[in-house]
Amino acid sequence: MPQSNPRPPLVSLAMASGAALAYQLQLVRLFSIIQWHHFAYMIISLALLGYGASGTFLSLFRRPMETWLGQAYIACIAMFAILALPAFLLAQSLAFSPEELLWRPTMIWRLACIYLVLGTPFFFVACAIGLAFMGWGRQSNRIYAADLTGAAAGSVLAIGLAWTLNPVAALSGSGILGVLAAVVAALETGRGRSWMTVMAAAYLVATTVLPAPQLQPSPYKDLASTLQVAGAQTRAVRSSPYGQVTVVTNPRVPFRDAPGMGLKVTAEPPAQLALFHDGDFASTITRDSGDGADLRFLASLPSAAPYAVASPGRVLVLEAGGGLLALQAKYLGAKQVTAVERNPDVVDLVRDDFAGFSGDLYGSPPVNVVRAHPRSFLTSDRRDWDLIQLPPSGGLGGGASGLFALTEDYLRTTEAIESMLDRLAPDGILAVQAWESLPPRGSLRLAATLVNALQRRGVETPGDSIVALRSWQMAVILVRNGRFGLADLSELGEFATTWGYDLAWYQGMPREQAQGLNRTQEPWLYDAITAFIASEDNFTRGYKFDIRPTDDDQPFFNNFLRWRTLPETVRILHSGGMALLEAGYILLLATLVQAALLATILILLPLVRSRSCPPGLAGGVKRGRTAAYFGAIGFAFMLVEVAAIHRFTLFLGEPLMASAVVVSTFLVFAGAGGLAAGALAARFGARATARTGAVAVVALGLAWLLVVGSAFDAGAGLGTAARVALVVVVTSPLAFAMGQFFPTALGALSEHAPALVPWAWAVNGCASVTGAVLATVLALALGFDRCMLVALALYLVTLFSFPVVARGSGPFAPAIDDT
Amino acid sequence: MEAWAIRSRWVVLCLLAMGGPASAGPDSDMAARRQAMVDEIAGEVRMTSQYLGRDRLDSRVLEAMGQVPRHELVPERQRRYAYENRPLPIGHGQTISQPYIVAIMTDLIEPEPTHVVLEVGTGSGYQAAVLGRLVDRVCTIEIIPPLADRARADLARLGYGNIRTRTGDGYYGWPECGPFDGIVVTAGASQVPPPLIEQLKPGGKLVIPVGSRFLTQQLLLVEKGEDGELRTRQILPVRFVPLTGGH
Repeated sequence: MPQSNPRPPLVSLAMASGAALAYQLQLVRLFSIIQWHHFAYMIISLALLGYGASGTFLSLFRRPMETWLGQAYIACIAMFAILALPAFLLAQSLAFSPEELLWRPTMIWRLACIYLVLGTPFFFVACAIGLAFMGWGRQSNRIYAADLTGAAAGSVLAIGLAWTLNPVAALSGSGILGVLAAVVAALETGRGRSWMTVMAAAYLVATTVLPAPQLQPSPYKDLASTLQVAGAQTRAVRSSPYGQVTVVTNPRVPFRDAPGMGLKVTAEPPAQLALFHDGDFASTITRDSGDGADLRFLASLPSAAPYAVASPGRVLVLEAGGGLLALQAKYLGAKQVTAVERNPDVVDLVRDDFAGFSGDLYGSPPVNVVRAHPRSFLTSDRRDWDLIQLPPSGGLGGGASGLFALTEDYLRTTEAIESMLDRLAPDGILAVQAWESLPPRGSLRLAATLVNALQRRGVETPGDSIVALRSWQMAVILVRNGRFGLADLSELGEFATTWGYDLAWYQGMPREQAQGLNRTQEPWLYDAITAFIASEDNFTRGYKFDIRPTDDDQPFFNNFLRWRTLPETVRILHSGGMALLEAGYILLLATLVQAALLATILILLPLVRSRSCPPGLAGGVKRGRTAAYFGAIGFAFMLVEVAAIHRFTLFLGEPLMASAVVVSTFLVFAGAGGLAAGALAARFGARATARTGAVAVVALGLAWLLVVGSAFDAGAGLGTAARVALVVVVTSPLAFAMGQFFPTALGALSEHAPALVPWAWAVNGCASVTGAVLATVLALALGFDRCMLVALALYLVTLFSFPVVARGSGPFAPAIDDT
Repeated sequence: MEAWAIRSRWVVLCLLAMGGPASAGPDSDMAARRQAMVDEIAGEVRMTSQYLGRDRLDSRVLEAMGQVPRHELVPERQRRYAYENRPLPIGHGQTISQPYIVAIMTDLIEPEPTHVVLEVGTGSGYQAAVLGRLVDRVCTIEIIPPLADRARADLARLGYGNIRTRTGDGYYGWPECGPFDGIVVTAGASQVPPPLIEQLKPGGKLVIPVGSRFLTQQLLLVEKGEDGELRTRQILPVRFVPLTGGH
């Protein structure tokens, strides 16, 4: 039922939409801190089905909602604001332990409760948006534009809040914006102004007066269990969009981080400060009091192996963290050390807050710290290095249990390794480290990637340039821009013997030599490198884990899942095999299955209530078209967005910046496209507009795929602002064309089949949420570019599924099967 | 009214499923469940023989596992799960290991009645209790004071007179209690502390689990030869073969 008030409440709608997006991003941050970011992803993805549920609810209770539309609209925004913070607090109080879930399936009930609790605020805010479409559907293009523009502002706001406030305060900020949206809604609709003003005042007072809620991290997170140890004290906490960094000291039980240290090393590390990122152990800051004797242990770590065969003057340390490898380079005599670290808080803490403790490591020669993503540093810096150090990816536990499977790693792809090899001076060494899990995975993939990169660069005998060592927990592979000679091998052998390592591979090494001090059932690393060098793919094809090199299109270094191994892993799950399960990918699939099932229920539920279907729609033709159309555009929008974020991550140098720029550009220009579509539909008809738009999107999408690489190669030397502008220029036409689908069809539905408006909202909401999860699955399986092609194919579906089959040329002409 | 009654039953069922308190049952029941757990461990060891290098554990180890009342060493609310072959939370972010892993770790150090064994990471005291039934003396160190206090009280209550406990940093071992025939490090470590190697007797064995609190990924066995030479062996405690080839 159209509203008597002709003006839709656009300002409050935009504010509510912005508050919801900011809330969503803050929730991901918070759950990354109190749980693990993989579960944060799963939990928030499922909670977002509150959007789909709102459409289902509005379909089922359409008539009372239409009767009380203005009041319901305001109430829904107010409920979102009121519940935003309590929902999070209640969800975190439900003691959910992800790893325990594998042992104790009943834990699933707690997970379900968390979904339900967190889904409630999203449900209410989505109800408000759905009500706006129901009440002012003929102006759906304006509502859509306000919704998307508000969301874009919300994403910017979320990043701003993350820079300035702690995560809980930032979440409260989203709630406050929601309250203000409710007040504005009351003013716009002319209903309940006094009530909303009082509520807003009470909310602000409560937020100010009540004590700030505390985070309750899982007791199994590294930080939480570290703080249980007698003597542990938190020295500093920093928060930014890059995550929360916590510095912990313990004078009574010191940290002794010495990654991969050999069994024969007796030196004890000096005092260290532990750095935790979102509650997970990241690295340490080692005390440098100026007494070299304290730092003796640095000469015996596996990462010191390149110093056994060379005296590198210029050292580049990637992913420098707290500075252990930079300190090692300084200790071992490097004249020029560049440490690259992307997290600004980590850089500030080492350089400023703990400069005295670290011996001014990041603030004085020979070390120069650079705040940048290591991959973008490699692209922009053209200097040559005698040694490039790449530390291991992820933690010892997480890396092997598959929890990092979904993390994009642009530093361990073939292209990245090639760029490192390009930066090596003659006889320079690239030293890469990997944790040794059992059975080995990361070290083998790293070896495969290194050999692949050497072969792509035309090195005819890559075996002459590679040497590998291993301790019981770490592998180090050295690649030289040149060859390792007999003298080098002798030096490395002595280094290994002295400190308790084994040479794991060099050209011509006997296989039995690989099983020295540190034995495994088979010398897997030796066998793997031998096979890679000989270009025999039998080893890779036969291995139970996927150890093929990764590339920039599928940069999932830690995803080792092989489907054929899964049944065996499942069979032995409770007899020690649980750690073999590639948990990250499995969780992603579990999320997709859950989302798909719930979405199906939410979409079908209104259909079983036939009275929600107006006369003339019982034939199902329109419902089928409506479902296909709104489902396809929901899926496709998310697939395009995810693929675009990926393509721009390397160009913009930071995943965070890429996400902010791409999401905002898509939302703003899609909103503009929606507005323009209103005028086009009025002139050419809704169906014709949508069809033309579909053709335009497919053409622009294909052109985008073809052109974007070249455009970015040309723009690689530009400054940040110019690169952002280039991204906007390249992306905006596609986003603009994509923006017309939803409002054009919803406007037509509003005219001819208003009963289907909330259902279309439900279908689109469910598809968008499921589409975000599906995008990750497709990216893992097919790569990001094919993800984009799937999206374009989905847009083609709209050519044949416009929900209203109109007579005549007008946008709101009667449908053929309408009575 | 009927609808409300049904709903309230659902609420109760859900609360129970979410981990509400439950009684553990009589001692005879516990003994039977303990034996079933031991039988399950023995079966799994047979399946993992290729990696373990043996198809059965020392019968004394299994006997000890069948005698230690695990339910007395876990928090009250976990008692009903005490004899399930899985790790259990014991508070303070720590867990009691999966009995299967405890049995393998115990077996790997080849305990003898005359041995002195060091445990780093007392936790609930369960591993120490199993060792206490097999060796002359167990010295165990816990880094988290409340856990150390609770384990000390529980082990004393259960009459384990040959177990000495200490609260503190396990890095330096316990020289006054050693040297040791075997060392069990129940907490994952980023390195093997040199003082522990030093306090290991020639011919002694040290075992460390690697992984997270609920998932043991592998076991590291360090063997000190009679000549003092060290060797490590990484053990995948699961039947998962072969890794490569035509399968």
